[in-house]
Amino acid sequence: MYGVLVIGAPGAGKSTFCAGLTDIFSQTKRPFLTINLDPANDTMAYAPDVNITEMITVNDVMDRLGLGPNGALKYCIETLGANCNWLLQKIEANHKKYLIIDCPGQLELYKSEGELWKVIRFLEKSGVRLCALHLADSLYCSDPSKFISVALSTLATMVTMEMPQVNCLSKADLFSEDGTYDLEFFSHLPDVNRLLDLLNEVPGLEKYRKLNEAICGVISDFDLVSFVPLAVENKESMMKVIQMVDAANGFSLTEQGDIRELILNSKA
Amino acid sequence: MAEKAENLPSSSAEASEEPSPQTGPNVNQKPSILVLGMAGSGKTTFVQRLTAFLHARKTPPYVINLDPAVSKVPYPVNVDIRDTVKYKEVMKEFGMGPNGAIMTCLNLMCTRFDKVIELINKRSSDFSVCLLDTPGQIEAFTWSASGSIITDSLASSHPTVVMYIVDSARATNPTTFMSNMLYACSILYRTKLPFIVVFNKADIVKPTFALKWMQDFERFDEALEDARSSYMNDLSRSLSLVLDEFYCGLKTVCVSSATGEGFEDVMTAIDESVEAYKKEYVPMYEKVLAEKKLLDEEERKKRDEETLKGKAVHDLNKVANPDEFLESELNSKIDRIHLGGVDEENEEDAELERS
Repeated sequence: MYGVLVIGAPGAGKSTFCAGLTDIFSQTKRPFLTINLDPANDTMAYAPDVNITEMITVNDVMDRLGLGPNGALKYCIETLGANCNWLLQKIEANHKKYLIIDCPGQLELYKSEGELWKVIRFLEKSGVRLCALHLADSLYCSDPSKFISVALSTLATMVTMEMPQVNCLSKADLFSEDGTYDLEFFSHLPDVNRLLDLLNEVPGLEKYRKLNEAICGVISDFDLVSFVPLAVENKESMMKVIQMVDAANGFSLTEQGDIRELILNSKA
Repeated sequence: MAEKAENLPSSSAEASEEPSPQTGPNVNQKPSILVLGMAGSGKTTFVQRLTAFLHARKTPPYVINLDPAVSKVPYPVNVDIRDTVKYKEVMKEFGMGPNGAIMTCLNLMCTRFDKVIELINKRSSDFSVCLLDTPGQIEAFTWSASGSIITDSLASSHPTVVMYIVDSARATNPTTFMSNMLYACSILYRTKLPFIVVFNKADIVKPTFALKWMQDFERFDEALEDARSSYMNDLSRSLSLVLDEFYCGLKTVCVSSATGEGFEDVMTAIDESVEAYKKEYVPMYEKVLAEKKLLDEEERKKRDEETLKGKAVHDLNKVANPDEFLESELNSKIDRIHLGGVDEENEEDAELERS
């Protein structure tokens, strides 16, 4: 089983992206299963096949236990963690389908040994091959310091998630082209030295020259923090992201069949 | 000891007052402390303890609550977002979930934040420090336009310091600690303000482990080696080197909001950060302001040129004082320029009565 785990800050466009994926998968005849793991997400642009709100909702927990939105959210995800088999049964009943998992935006849920982290590890152990898709609002790339801020928070999730991750700059269609920097510069980062120069020119960051250098070093050494511009309304943009996700979680290799079978057949 | 929360002026006349032109931050004003941190790190309890600590020293703070979803505020509050916007009503009225409602409340508060700053400025002589308690969902504040506007408004008005609260008990896992520090670094790059990392809940777990990790890269790397999977080995090591640079010059304080331990150190760190604000932020702000002024000037010149280009040729012989006529005509034209392009302006010119 293969799937994509859609993560990112609140308002980054996770649910909109999931809705866009369902449209494209419907058109390309790819069987899929949408799963909403955000118990606070009650206005979605798509109808999820599996919804955590069938089990528990944030509003109910807030009313019954007198918790605030944070405590209620953690309680909901803990409840999901205690009932992981419920989720697994739903998935296994649709074992041939590609999973689209819409996640909550709260970063603390993904921390090592965090509530959602445990659920994800459970799914992986159960044979679900997942790839994280991290969405960040492209409007934060209006200047280099904000871009580095986005890159650092992305790295924070990469370190804790410990799984293949594709990073996207969502709402790319809203990005102003007449700004100082174009989206291409940030999404491909062909010239990290140029980024470093720009960072050192930013007022207030002059004293962090060494830190700027170290961060840019990580970006260039690992080539992990490259961002793909994403506009949900743009089919080409969506297809590009889907290709990257399929390559990251291994789904693109399934068309060749099971390698072990290929070897056995060649011997015969 | 509960103080009456101040209400923001609500009359439309007051709301539409022209803001005074920005002249730069008032460095002699008392500082504002923006308290940020992950959910459950103990921000509100920290603010409560710091408030009590300052009251005991007969130097009361000015406290602002920016968390619309909190049910009870355990400290005397001067300005409360809940008096301006009702979180539950926003959820019902706009059909939003908790996240959307928090962000909408912040957006609504943001539209009146100039009034909050006026109140802070007005009361400046009565308090020692202004404390701002932010929403539990750190993302709702750090990754929203309203969060940026609130931070920038404060920073451009008077000394502002960011305090990032870390839950020591949960940071014992080196990967979680690294994630927390990366996020702190991310906020530093967003705000570019003096930054203090506060290790809270020292009564549960002594944060000495964190301080050792921050001072000794090798020790942290060993801890990381034991905890991490091979998948992230190289990246984790490189990131810990990045963080090593971040720790240089970073102010850290260990406190317990339950017992009151370490709050003298908090005040010392605030004083040092205010000095850093004066030395580093103010020159930066003045530089940005000067650049903006220059850009505005260029924009104005460009607009004037466009206006003159489209100007109708007048028969100046018929006018008693040609220079005066041209000047008044030009001024009336400049008043009429809107945000449309040159084409729209030319269309307007065509409609002008020709003398």
